[in-house]
Amino acid sequence: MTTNSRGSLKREKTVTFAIFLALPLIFFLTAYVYAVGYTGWLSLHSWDGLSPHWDWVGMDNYQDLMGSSRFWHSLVNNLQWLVFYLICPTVLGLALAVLVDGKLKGEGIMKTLIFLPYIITPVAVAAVWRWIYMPADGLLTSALEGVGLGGLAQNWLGDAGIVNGALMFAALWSATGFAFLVFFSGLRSVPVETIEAARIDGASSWVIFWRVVLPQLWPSTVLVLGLFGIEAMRIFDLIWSMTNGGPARASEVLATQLYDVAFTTFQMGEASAIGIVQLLLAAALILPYIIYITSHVEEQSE
Amino acid sequence: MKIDKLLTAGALSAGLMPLQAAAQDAQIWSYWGTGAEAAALEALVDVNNSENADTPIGTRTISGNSSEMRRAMQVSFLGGTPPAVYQSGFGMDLKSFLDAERIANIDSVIADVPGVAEMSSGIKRVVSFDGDMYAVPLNLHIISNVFYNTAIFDELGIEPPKTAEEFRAAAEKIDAAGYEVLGNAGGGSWTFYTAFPFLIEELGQDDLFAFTSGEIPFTDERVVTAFQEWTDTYVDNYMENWSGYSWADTAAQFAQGKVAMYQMGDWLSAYLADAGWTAGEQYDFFSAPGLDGAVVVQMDVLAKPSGLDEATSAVADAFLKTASGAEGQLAFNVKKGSVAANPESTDEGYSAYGELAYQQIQEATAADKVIPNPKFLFPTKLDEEIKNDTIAYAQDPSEEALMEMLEKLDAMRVELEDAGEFIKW
Amino acid sequence: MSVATSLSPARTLRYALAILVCALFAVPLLLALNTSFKAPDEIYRVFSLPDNPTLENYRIGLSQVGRSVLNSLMITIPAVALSVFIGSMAAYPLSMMRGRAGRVIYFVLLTGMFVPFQIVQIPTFYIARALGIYNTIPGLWLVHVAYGVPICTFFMRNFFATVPRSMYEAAQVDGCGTAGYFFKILMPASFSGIAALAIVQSRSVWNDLLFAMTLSNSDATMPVTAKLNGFVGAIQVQYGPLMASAVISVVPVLVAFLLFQKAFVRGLLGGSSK
Repeated sequence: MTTNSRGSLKREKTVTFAIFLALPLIFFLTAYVYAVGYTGWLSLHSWDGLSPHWDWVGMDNYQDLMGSSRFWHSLVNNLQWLVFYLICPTVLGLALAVLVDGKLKGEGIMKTLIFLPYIITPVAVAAVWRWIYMPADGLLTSALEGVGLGGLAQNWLGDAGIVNGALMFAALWSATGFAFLVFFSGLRSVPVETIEAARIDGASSWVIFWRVVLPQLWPSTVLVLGLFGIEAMRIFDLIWSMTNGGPARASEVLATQLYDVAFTTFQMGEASAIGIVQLLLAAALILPYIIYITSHVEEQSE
Repeated sequence: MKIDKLLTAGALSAGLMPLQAAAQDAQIWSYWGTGAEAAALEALVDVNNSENADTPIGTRTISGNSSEMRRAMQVSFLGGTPPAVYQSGFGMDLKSFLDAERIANIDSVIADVPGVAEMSSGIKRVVSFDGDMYAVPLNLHIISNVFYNTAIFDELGIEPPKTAEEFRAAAEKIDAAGYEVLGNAGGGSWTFYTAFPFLIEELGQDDLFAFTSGEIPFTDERVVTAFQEWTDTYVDNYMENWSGYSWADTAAQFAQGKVAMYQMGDWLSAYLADAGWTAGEQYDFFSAPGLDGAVVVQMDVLAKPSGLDEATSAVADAFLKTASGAEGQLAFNVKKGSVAANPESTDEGYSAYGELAYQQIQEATAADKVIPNPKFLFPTKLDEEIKNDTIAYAQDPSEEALMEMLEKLDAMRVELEDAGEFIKW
Repeated sequence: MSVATSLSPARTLRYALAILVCALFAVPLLLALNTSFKAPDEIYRVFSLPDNPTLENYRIGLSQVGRSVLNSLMITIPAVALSVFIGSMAAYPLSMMRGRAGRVIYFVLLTGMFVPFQIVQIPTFYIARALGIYNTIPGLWLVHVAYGVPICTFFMRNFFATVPRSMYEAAQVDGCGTAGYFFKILMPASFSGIAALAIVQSRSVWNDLLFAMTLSNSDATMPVTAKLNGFVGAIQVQYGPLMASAVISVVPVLVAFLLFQKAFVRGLLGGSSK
């Protein structure tokens, strides 16, 4: 190979890469950069979504938000969802993966059953769970009454103190499958020889799990935590279709508040301001994760 | 056709071909998309298209509700292709379109239609601005009737109560017999709806309008009394865990005979008809205590966008004439299960309940006591606040909580009044 | 799976626990299925089996959401194929480029992952309107492709990183160009990664409610989620047809999952182990 053709090869590579990157970047610039900029600009205005003009209000929308207890309530709810997502479905998914990953008969069916809820449309999940949580004839209340525990029955979706827990339980049902399957695949990648070697050294199953298996599951954990973290900041569908953020806004999160402000009271500017705050919050929480991934990946390919 | 679409789609995604907005025939846009509602619209369109054969109108369903409709209208304005006519809410909804200069004055179009001048003043008031009508009131649903289970009332020997006091006495008996007294539901403004009769009794019709115009404080003595009466009479008697129910879930509880009374709108009669119940037999109704012949109504209206081309405008005008006339309204309301807003419309073909509601509205119209749902007269932001605050309050009512709620609402009233957001209905 | 091990008490306990968990996971599904076969007057007796199992709910459900299921298919299949392809296009150079430029581009694309979609709802609506793709099925393809760029790039970038670099070098020696390697060797070799991403993307496109509500408003384009949501929000909820419709809406994704399940699990492994 001559140096000349080597150089043209390199040029060919650069040009090809540029072409490959062009289309995704155009999509990204339009859908993310332009759109987020537009929302940011709109957040400095007052607009009813109907009139031809936007009225400039500067930072008023943000100031109103900072002084609104409704906004802080939504924000706290979002953080609760974050904590919930990072812990509950993740741990349960891991536990179930370990439970099922023992070459049990019927493993395929179990896997499908646990994963299935994850692929069901949140709107459908909401419909089923509304039905479960109905106060009088709902499944949960009927079941509790059936076993003589009727006293434990609650106004699941109608009580401000309970509604978030009830929603999270439905979300647990729906989200666990994803963590389960990722961990399940992760477990398959733990080399059998390593485990055998530890066993021969006399390590108990518990120690093997903590010292040998769990570290091997780190990449799976990163994937699950990352996607659940994003999910928690974005959560909308399930809450919107189950409670509309009610009762009396008790289950509202930023996304549902944004939607309500934009399309029930038509305050597009204020809705945009909520969106920008939501973005900043998500950025603060998820940016470290992305930095971790990009730097981690760099190490790997060196 | 599918292939066609795929090809178009392929070309589009490659950015080769801009999509032409298809030229459309004149249409009415509504969210009456399924069941009785769709049938009602179809009946009205049939009347129109035979009366106005040379200016027929087509229909398009916007799936969803009023906020989806608003979005669809928004898009149509941007694209310069608004429909001839669209389904709207009255009051604030119309006003926001008027403020954005998006709807046309149709006073001259429908003023001469027989019966329109005789419509109840309350109804005309909330579709008119500066004395001119901007929309056609189409159908009335009564939301101030209390439905009751006749079997339970007979069993306990209760007569339909006429006053709040009688209501409370009846409630006591019902409660003692182990039934839930009064249905209610979370979500929506149902809770606030049930407070209207008490507000009307205390304030009277004129001051109720003043109240929705921001001129009477929430802390006004009469308003406070009304909410107190409402608490003692209704809130304390709501079924258990009501906030966890949807409208239809509660209707189901009523139809199962677990709940004795119900006041969340007379569309319940259609629900009960599906369950095989007939007005006057398994269930009956009385006017909520203290109304003295007044009825509170929910209605849909039809409006015409501004700036239409001449041909579309002509279709719209012809259709609005039909829709405001006695025949068109009858065709629509028979199917919808509501009552015509035009008092010259007959009750031919109405259900057993429909005939009774028709009678009630005729009498109220004659006495000029038809009151449009006050919810839609408040600025949207305040209305949302009232909706949520009443739900929160009614879950845990106390004298203190009541005053706290009313003071909070009044602070918002003052703020909105200063910003000029109220309409002087 | 020998007989000896399957009889041990620990194993029995494990079985019992696994079966119990699966049963609990199945309850809501069984409730939906059971309700979907009931006549209206039995609906409120949750535990009873249908006295006279009826397909009426499915008839109503199909007549109400049938069209929208087709729309969902017409939206999801091309949108997923395109977004996996576009994501792979971005991922390929990013997995090969060393140095700052590649890292910066990758980082920028990934920041898209934390943008909550609700906040771009309003501009997306106007962009779609301006491009003339509002309320069209191709419009929804483009939107899903665009918003799928970060996650698809992330996923495929990780997957490509597991493909040995020596393969690329060997291909170069054989005279296969940079683009040729991508199309002829890398993509076919990445089937399991593509399958895994396709499942993840299918789920998010199929289940999307927000863009559906924002960008479609007629029966000709509205996907099943928006239609179902219309039901749930309707003034009169009929649980029988609703449950039947929910079941209908799940079937296509379930079929896709079962078809690609093996590749999916393998692909997740490739994607997550780096």
